[in-house]
Amino acid sequence: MKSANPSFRPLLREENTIVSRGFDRYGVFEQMKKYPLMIIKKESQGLGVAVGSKELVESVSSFEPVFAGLEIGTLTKQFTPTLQGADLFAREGGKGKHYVTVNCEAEKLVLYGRDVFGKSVLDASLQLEQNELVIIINRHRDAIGIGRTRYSGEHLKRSDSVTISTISDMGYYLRGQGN
Amino acid sequence: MKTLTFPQNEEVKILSEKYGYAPWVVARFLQYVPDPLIFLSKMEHSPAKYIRINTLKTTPEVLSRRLSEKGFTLTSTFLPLVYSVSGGSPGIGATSEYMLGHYYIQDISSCVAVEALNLTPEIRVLEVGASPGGKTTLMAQKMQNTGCIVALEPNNKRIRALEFNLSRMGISNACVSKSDGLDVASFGSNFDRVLLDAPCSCEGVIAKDRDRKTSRDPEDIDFCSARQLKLIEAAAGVVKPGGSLVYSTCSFAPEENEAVVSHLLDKFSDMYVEPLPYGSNGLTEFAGIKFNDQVKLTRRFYPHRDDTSGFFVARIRKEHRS
Repeated sequence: MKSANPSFRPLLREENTIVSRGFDRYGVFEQMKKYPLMIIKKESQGLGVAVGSKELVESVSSFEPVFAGLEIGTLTKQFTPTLQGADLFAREGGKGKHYVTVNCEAEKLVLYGRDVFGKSVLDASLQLEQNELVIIINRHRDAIGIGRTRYSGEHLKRSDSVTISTISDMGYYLRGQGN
Repeated sequence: MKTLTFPQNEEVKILSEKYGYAPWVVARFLQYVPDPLIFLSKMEHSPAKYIRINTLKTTPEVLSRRLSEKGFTLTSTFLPLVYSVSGGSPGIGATSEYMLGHYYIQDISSCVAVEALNLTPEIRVLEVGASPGGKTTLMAQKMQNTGCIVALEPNNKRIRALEFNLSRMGISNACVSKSDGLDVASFGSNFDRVLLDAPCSCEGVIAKDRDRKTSRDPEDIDFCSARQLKLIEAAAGVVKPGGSLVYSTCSFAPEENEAVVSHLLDKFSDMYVEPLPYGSNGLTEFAGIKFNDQVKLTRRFYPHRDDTSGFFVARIRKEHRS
């Protein structure tokens, strides 16, 4: 069973570059400098990026854990945030075009895994293009989900249709707990 | 210590019929629970609901305001960051703030066990039987996500629940090992703190799970007690000199509580119990059986005295080596 456990290691130089670009995209490059990071390698899955405490990152391999740290993103040719990553970036005051603010009605729907109607979008950058990954935030600037734009910036507020597809949402923590 | 049973006199029969308990359970309660009639009456009511605010993600002021807007009333308790909650809609377990990890629904007695650890940043902590993660996430919060928590959980499904809560609450200083509490020696003996919330007969949660009034036998307490003795010895072995072990259960049974701590103290002369400021004194004797005198410093929590689920907690220090 131990051989199925994920393995943990420091980031390689090129991985650090990709992750840093990701942090910059979400407006948290400076804020994330204080977090020790580690790579999670899971059997038959890709690489994950986790934040950990200094002590955890230094000693994690000695415990052979099945889970460690807070996984904030996945790493392929680019960095893609997880829900936990989106939450951390929003709490760290991340700003920029990849954050879309929705109203209370949309917040309730997103937390049920539903998509976002344009009429519910309070703020979205005009520089967003179609098919871009965005962090969906509520009026309190909490990250409530991750979505993908169906239209470019100026059309994201169109009132007659869904303009952001919800890919993952924090309601998962209620829906998933029965499994 | 084999589970003790007592004669079932007329009073036992009347009370067990009135409240729906197996008579042997009532006979035992009458031996050591203070104000047993008030206790049995209180156990008919669900305990107060408590939440613990997650200061890694929010503040008491902000969360109180947001929950108040949804109709919830938060009342402070004797523990900082723990509030009793009433009212509101939807239920306290279905708010967006809950999903975002701004608080954890957790009985106050459970938080006392973590308070007893007296945590500081940058230390190393081992937790036995960690799932679903209420104590783990509170420890991480008190450590400000520094240091290292090694959380043990042998069951796959319970590991999943633990991972959920660690992620939901934004915990970054913890790792989860699929291990049993009897195997802790492999982790070395350099933990500043060890938390052993031992698997037990769960008498203390009868108010939430009424089936437990009749679904258990004395042999169930025997089984739990035998395992607890092994677990506490194993846990004590990995505490570093000067460190401490907190032992807790959600049982009222002295065989699972004072007897286990007494056994440890009698076997390991370098360990001693430290006082705690909450709850009622531990029992120093039960039905003529005397425990190590130090167990009077352990603590019991009763629903009718503390408005919590039933709980037992002991903080045990390992002496520094000179």
